[in-house]
Amino acid sequence: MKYMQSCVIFVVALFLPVSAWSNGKVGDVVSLRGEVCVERNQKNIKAKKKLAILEKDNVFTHEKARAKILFRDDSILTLGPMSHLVVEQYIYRSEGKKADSIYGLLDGKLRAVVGSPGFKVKTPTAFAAARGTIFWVWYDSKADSTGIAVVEGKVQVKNINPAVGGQQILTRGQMTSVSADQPPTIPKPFNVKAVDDLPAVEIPKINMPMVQGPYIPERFVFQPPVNQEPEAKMTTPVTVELNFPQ
Amino acid sequence: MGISAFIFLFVFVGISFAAPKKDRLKEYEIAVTKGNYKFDSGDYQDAVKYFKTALGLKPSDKYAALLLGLSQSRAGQYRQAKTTLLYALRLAPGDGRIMYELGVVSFQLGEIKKAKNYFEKIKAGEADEIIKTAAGGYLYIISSDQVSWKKPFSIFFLTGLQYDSNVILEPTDPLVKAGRKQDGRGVFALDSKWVFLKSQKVAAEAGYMFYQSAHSNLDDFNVQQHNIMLSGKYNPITNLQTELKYKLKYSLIGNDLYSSTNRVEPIVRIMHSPLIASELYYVHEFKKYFNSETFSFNSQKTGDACQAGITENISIWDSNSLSFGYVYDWDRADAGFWRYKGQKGTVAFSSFLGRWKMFFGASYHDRKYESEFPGFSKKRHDGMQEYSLTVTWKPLDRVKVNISEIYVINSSNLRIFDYNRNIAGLFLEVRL
Repeated sequence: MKYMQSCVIFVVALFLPVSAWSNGKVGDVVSLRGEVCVERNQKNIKAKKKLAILEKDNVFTHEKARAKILFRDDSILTLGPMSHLVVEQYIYRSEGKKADSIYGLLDGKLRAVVGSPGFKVKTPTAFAAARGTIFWVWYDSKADSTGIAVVEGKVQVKNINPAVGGQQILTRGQMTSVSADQPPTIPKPFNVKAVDDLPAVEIPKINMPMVQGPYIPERFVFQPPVNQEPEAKMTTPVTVELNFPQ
Repeated sequence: MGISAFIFLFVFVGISFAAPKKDRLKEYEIAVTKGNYKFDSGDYQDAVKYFKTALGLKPSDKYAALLLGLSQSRAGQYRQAKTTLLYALRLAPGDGRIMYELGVVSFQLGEIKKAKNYFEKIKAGEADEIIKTAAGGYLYIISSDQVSWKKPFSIFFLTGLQYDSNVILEPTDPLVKAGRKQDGRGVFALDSKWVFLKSQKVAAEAGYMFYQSAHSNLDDFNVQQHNIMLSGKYNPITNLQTELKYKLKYSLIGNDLYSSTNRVEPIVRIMHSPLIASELYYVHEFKKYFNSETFSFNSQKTGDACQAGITENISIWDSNSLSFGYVYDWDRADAGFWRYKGQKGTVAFSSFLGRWKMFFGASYHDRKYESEFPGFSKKRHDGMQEYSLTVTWKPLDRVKVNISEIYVINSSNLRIFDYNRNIAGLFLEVRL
């Protein structure tokens, strides 16, 4: 019976509309500023717009850099300067555009717009599961501390170490911090407008008009529109014999 | 504008009520990000879809309105883009970028006065130098009358008088003194263009031109020309424009068929910066010349002719433009003494001041012929200098008066081709 169940599960799994069980494309870099690199299979790739992001990719932003990644489930991650993000797990189901995703923020700052449930962010000290939509996560490696602030919706926050108890549910306008081996602090309010300062909109570059050459009047204002060279008269040498009267 | 803006607002406010309030910000951000991504990928139709959603979620967001208008404009939906951008301008009065895009859309719609008005406002008040430069570029195009093709159908008539010091291109020092070579002539021309396809990326036009000159004395040199033109333009990316032109020309001199030419011309224009652009072109002409009483050995010139050239165009401020060009050309006429390989250098400058325009051009064309000319033991080698100047006055928007002068010095090692020519003209041009 168990054997039959396993077979059925295996066959069903084969036909599930799952397109990202493997290391396929999970998102694209949609905008960036400054120097951004993607480490893939121990190779460094300089990021540019439309670069595909795969599961297990490490994304690094340098000083004054920023990268915005659009994932297949419509989640949007914006990575701030001097940050390091790893796509630890991304399991996508095209039915309903849903994904079970785990992102690791190993340094720096991240803004997340959550496209589908099953969205989780890990830092060296904290674990955040999104139940809402927009939130910030930042990890300070020097202080070994994580900050989380919710712009919209709800986020469940715990210490990364399951042995450390306690969790907090943050709602809009609340923030908490999680230090090593400490439970999340009691949520406190923050000014959403002051913190959520990243522009969501990217205005495309201006389309310059094609530079026009000097205004040239129609040719016939100067001369007739034909190439009228002098005639090449074919001349035939003629010998004229003059017989003068004797 | 009032009614359309009201309907526009009604539609988008309606959409905004349809979305659950708590998810509105998230949905807005997703829509905007996807719209930006589609826009960057050149999928403007899809971008329109996403920005419509974004504006529906935030009807008072000037960015969403601007992005929707921009996408509609790039998708070639100029009427819709205009309505959206006017709505955006109501949300952010005086916004330079919105005014610029409105100017671009008005320009594309052939509403040149409105476009000019937007660009002039930007020039007067906008702080952003890039927007100012771009607006200046459009003002240059408008003031230089290079916008005729932007209208679906344009036709102009030109008539005038010319004095020509050397109609028959007689040598300056002829072996045998010929008769009169200088003459006056009347000129009439009609030029029409029809733009039958136009979008942000693609344009196509057809045209017909008729030219007729009538000399007061040298009737045998009256020129009539019929010129049919087809052109297709494709802009694969913002800074690159490609064009393919085809022309069929029939020329008659003194009522006899003089020549027919099929001309194919691919052109690539590259914009390096807002002020500098290059034009690379190749011209291939299939020319057929016909014998007549006046030109009894004309058919010897029949054959192909080609040109490959590059022109650098530089804008100087808003109303001046400079260009340098180089052309390599060769003629493969049936008769070896008409075949040549040549090189030409050109320089041109134009300037606009209100209703006055000035153009100055100079060129030098060096031509080395392949075979000895009949009756001569040397191969022909010519150097032609051309200097031209016009001053144009535009008393009315559709009326222009041109005073023109051209001076040609053709120096040849064969005396029969060594000539000077001076043509002065006064023209009236009316555009319908």
